Amino acid sequence: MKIYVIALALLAIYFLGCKKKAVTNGDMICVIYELSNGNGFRIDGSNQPVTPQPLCFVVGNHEVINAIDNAVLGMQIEESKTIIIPPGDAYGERGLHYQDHYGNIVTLVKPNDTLSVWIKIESFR
Amino acid sequence: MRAITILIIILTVFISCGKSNKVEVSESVGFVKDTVVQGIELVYVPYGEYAAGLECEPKTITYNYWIGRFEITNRQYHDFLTLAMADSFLQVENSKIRYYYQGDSLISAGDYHIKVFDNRLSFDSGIVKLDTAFEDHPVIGVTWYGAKAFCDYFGFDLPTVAEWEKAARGLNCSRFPWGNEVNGSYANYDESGDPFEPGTTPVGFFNGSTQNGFQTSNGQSYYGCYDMAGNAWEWTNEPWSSETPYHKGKGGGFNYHTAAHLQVYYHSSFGPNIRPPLDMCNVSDGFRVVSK
Repeated sequence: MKIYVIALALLAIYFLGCKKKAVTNGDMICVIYELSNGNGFRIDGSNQPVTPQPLCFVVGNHEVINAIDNAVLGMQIEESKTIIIPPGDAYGERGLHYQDHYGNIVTLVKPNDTLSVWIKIESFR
Repeated sequence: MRAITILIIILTVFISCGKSNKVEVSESVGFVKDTVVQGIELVYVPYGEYAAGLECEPKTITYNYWIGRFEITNRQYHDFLTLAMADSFLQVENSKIRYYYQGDSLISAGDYHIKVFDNRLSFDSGIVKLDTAFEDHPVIGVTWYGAKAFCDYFGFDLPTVAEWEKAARGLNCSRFPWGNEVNGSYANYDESGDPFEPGTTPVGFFNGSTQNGFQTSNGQSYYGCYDMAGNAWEWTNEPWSSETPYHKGKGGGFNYHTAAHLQVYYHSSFGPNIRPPLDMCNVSDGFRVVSK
């Protein structure tokens, strides 16, 4: 009997210990992300030519746009999701533009465009 | 006689020790020199270890160098353009200015555009005009070739990522050049709330003083540089990879990027992600110089 109780206790400790931590406000996390405009064109992200570059931030500290701050709450390590970012939480009426040397405006994000971002929790720090 | 000899030996030892200390003190953290070039101030960074990248891996730079205390300003870039055009160092074609880059293993030799002109620094009928209201703001809209041209003309270099990161935080594994805390009183980033929103701030604006009624925090780096987080993105001399002809930018910018993008380890994603023409740039791209 005694040995069963001990085994059960050990199993409980093992499973509780393995339960993945969920992201809460104040955590510092690193994510991999891919940001696309309303047409699905990739405009920014972590997948660099050699290795992905994570973006690390303190959740809830306004270090990233609000939509990402909110979306990561409750996520666990290795978990990924795609979220829709309304214009008000991204580039809004400004949009996102570059200018070439002939004065042409190159638009990456149209004004009031809705963006999407795929995001994956890489690590807690 | 013997006593005098001993005294001389003791004095010699003291004097030589004194000289050694003096050199070390004068060339340590925060030592600043003015160059004869366009009033550019440089800070001294001694050789040694620094905290590299996201994991703060200890790495070593084996030489001493000097790095710009501030980002290059509109005034300094205006003066460069005026001098370099007069010397035919730059090629002027219609309303565009190009620089002949000799090429390297990734980039073909050729004439490349150097800057997107704006209302702060404009180019018309062969004359470069400066809006003096912005003369102490960082020059922006500069391509990598425009930054390289400035350096080549005056004998500077663009910093490597290692030189930049060491100047930013030395051996401190801090997230930002000043420490780990971040808010709009330390740096100019997207919607950070400074009096110059949504534009650039004068270089060195975030120095702990109250300016235009706005209380800044001291955003100075470990070695005394300003604006190593925010204001202009800063070009480095380092390509993305041995196969990618785009260069890394450091420090984050005044627009479109958030506080997280200002961290010391982070480098810009402009270039490889969207593959623009080689001599195209983000509106917030500027630079600081290095001297070795």
